[in-house]
Amino acid sequence: MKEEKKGVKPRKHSSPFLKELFTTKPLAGIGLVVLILMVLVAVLADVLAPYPMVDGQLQVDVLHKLAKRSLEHPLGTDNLGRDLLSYLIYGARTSVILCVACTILSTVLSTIIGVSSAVLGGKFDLLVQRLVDAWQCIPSMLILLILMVLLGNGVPQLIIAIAVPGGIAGSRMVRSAAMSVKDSGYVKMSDMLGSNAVWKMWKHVIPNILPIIIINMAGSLGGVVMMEASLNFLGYGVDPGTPSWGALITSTGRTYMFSYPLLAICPGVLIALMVFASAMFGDGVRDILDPRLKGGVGSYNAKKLRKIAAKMTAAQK
Amino acid sequence: MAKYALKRVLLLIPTLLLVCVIVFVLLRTVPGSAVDYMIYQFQTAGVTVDQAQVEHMLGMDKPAVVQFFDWFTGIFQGDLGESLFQAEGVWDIISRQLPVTLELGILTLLFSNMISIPLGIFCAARQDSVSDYLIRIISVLLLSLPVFWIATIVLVYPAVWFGYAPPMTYVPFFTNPAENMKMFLVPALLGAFTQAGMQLRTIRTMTLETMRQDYIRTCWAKGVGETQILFIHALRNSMIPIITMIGGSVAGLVGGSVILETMFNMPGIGAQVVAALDMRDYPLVQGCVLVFSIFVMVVNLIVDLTYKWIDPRVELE
Amino acid sequence: MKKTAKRIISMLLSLSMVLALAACGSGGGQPGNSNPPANNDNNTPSSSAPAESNAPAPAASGEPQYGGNLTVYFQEFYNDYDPSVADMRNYCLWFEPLFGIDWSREDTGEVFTSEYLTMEWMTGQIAESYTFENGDLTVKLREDVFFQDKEPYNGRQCVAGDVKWTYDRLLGTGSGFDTPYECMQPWSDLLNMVTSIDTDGDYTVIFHFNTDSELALNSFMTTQVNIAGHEWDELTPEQKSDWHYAAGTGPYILDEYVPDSYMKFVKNENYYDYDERYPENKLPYLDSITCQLMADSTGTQTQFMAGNLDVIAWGGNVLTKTEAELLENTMAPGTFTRYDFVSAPPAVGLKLTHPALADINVRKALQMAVNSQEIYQEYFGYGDRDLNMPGVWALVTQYSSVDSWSQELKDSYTKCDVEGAKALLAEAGYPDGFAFDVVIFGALDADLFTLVASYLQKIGVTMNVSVATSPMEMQQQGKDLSNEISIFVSGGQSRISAIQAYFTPNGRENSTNINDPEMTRMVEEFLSATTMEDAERIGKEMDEYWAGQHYCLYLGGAEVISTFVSGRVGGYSGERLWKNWNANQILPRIWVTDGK
Repeated sequence: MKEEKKGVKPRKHSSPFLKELFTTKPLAGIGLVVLILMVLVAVLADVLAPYPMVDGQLQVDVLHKLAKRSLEHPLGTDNLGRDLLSYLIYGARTSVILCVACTILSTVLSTIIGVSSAVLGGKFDLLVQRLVDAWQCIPSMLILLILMVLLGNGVPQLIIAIAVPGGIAGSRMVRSAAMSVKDSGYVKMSDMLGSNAVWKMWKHVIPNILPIIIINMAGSLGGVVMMEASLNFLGYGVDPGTPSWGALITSTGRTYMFSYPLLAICPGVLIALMVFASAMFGDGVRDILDPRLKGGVGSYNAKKLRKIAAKMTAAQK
Repeated sequence: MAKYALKRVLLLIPTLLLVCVIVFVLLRTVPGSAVDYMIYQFQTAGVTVDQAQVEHMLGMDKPAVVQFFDWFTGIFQGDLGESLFQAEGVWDIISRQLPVTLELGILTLLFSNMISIPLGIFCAARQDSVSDYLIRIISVLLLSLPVFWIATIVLVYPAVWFGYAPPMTYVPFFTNPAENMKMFLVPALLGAFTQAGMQLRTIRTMTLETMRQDYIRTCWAKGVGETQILFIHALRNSMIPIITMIGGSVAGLVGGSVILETMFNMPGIGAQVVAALDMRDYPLVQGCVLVFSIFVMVVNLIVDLTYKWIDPRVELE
Repeated sequence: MKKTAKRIISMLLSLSMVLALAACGSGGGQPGNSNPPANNDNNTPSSSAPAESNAPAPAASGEPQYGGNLTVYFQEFYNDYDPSVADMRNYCLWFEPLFGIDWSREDTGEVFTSEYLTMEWMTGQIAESYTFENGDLTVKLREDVFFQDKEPYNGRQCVAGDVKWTYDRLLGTGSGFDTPYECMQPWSDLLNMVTSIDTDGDYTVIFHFNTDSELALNSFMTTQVNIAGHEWDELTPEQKSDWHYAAGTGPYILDEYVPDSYMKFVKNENYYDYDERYPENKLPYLDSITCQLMADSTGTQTQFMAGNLDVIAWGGNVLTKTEAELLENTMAPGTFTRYDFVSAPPAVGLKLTHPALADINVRKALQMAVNSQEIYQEYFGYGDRDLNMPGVWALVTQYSSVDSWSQELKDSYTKCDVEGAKALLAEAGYPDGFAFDVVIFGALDADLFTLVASYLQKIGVTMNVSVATSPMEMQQQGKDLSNEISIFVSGGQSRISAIQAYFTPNGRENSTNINDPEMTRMVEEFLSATTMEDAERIGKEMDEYWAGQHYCLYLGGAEVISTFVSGRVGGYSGERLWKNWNANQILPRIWVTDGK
């Protein structure tokens, strides 16, 4: 006799990922929606912005600088007379480009390093691990600073500076996941059948550690935006002409924080929103995909137990 | 265990060498050199100086490899070189400022764990409940808001409203604990909030994982109370990942200290590094990064050894 | 467990609500007051050089008083106590030069805005009087000067031998020194007119010059050398880096130095000097001075608001207009005095290696396209004031004034004429415009450059601005004559640097990257002038010629920057305090009114 026992249902991967995301983890679903919205805004910036860019630059209008909110300028203007709303919209583009590029780059990098290190093993593994170890001992903020001084300001430089250390750091986790897969049966079979290293990596190892990789990716999204803002605070970041939320907060926003608070609040809220959405999304992804959170017979807590107990006593009566 | 410990300590040395090489190479590839900075300083004051003279005075006329070996061998003799711009040895400067950064780091760690561990466990126990959501939202909010932004608000508003400003002068803890805490409390709390935001979610996840285990289910079945389960059984088994997390967060503290020390005028290494990097004061930057890295390495070592002590079953590489 | 959690949550929620309210609520929409408010009447700008500065009142508050402590700040200390250290390390309050500034001239205002000192403004400090004949400068010293009662001098009298020793050491002209002292400052070039030094008794020093030119005398007198004694060289290297051995003849004694924290100076009771403005008052007034180390500007502002710092924007650091306004609106009237200045105006030093920029008509066209008036009024916030001249002392040296310029020359810098600019460009052969690169560095106002780029775009010229991470990187780009990259210059750098190049050890170095034979000829003439009148005449010519060549693209006026001084401080003029040059002479003449 199979009773539907609430709270005891083992989670199955039978429902498609997205559906599961939205039903069981609504917050994560909201996060995903927000992120997609950001991407859309970024792509459609030229269409959405009331004062689109001309020749790659936002229009300045010094005579109307620091204007208050009005019909022409729904959020007012900044200290050069650029429409704040347009600035924020184009800023989304910078943020999205940064996030996407950094995440992809760092994921690719950590996968390559981690998997090759695990699969090739031996001396190569040892050397790479020593290097990664040494690299990780150096605090990331310092590496970031040094790299930014090295590369100069600008979006491509930011991408490299943020992605490379992230990739190297993430390779650790990828490597340990790959190590555990490497010794499993089908990989050994593949070995016996005479496959070469690259084939093994591509066909066997990577697909099986995909959940970890995805979790990594989702988790690191939010940090990118934060790091860019912090770097701007210390004086390194994007070029002056590039609209960016982080740059707005740390320069103009900070100076005019008391007289024109919108300049600091709006980008701050947007940064927080993006980080928040990525975090929620990342959480949800991990909750669903993480193999360690699956299996068993589910988790209990006191409330659930009481409910079950109540049901059972009721059923007995 | 002792053999393992010894092996690990010895392994520190090649790692140290690698760290030194990485730092040295990175720094020397940075454009603009200390010589130029010096020249610029004097030009601003209306004095023109001779490049060759400056180079000789700064000891920069020797080839890079020689400079590296001079520096590296010096480390083992306790001599980290002389700062280029301050008439003091690097180690003198660092040893003076290290206690400040350490204290800030320890306080931040303390506060953040005091907040995140209880709350994290609570969230795990009440998974997906309203409180769980609320706390998670707040924690993500905490880590989404840029630290320098909050710090600016915290600094400026009390000054504007009450004419209050935190102390300007650093007093060591053992000289006058009250004065010392006046200076450290606010920045430590700010740093702690951000850290707590990040740690809380991790703790929650790890506790959730542990709660799924069979032995926990046994506990429930035995009728053990919830508090006992959470704090005795679950917590102990999550200790390892929690300790890893604490160990990992040490490296992250550096980033926080850089910003906080600058804003709250604390004479620590974080603020020093940024200033020194600006001036291309190579020996000082190298020294600071080195000290941080050694610190991280030592913490990692302690963490690893603690694993073994807590759980003898753990297989260490 | 639940209860505590709930309490924590509600606490966090209310905290965030308070913060959010605070951020939105206060300060919402102060009407952008673009006129720098005059706190005392001294802020009305004058139209002659030095432009836009207040005619300073000698004392902001009342009569001199003794006692109390002044707290100022520095962004960095270089704990280098050697007497050869130049004025830029301006916390060396324990040293003094032979000749100092005549502070009774305060009312003329000129002393305080010019970067140059001239003989006319100097009076004796350790020196009492001098004569100059046939290339020999005979200096009579005061007989009441003593070194501070501190190691290594322990209070002994300062005599001619010490002056000779000091100069000999720097120049390698005797006293056991046969080569110039190796340090950052090129003393032997700054003082290259001195061939040897003799003493006659304890109070007379004779400097033998290699020329009897008045200009040489002027240079000598205005170059401030810290007078020390032979005991300095008898110290070990450790002692020389130890603040316990930093002493001189000056008004304040370095009493305490906590690294990374602060320096404390106390009054030198045996100081000899009296206040020129109040001849019966023995200096210094203050009992002590604390120099705090503070790097962050938000930190210094909050400390000023809390009353812990007495001066803001000290030593060349500045407050922006908004920061100044915030301070002004927050602090109670009477607790502060505000001084507004014109900062060094920004400019782009045009690189003549770029084919378009080599043509003077192109350069003129660029300047015509920039709407300096708008920048001045809107961007820098001068409201509806008229643009007098874009920061006069950027274009002229101490030898000339903008007043003597032709109207045409003045107009070429102030009038905006987009159509005319386009026509001029077309005439020069660039009807469709061109592009050029500019490098600035991170600390500068990148927004201003974005604004100017938009002006230039109107005549078809594209200015690509990129940011170097450091000033020296930018300078490197500028000096490199193999590229076509222009760089940011300001104030002193855009001036006739050929004259500054006079002091380069490697001979004349054209740091403006201009190869202009006419300019070179004039500089030669200038350097061989022997009288001040000749120098002034040629200097004037050079200034006008330079301006006419439009080697720099001026970006319209300069920022209003402010310095704030606590209301309890008196006896100074704001401008000199801001620049903080000759701190060892200003600070003894300052007092505080509350004796704290």
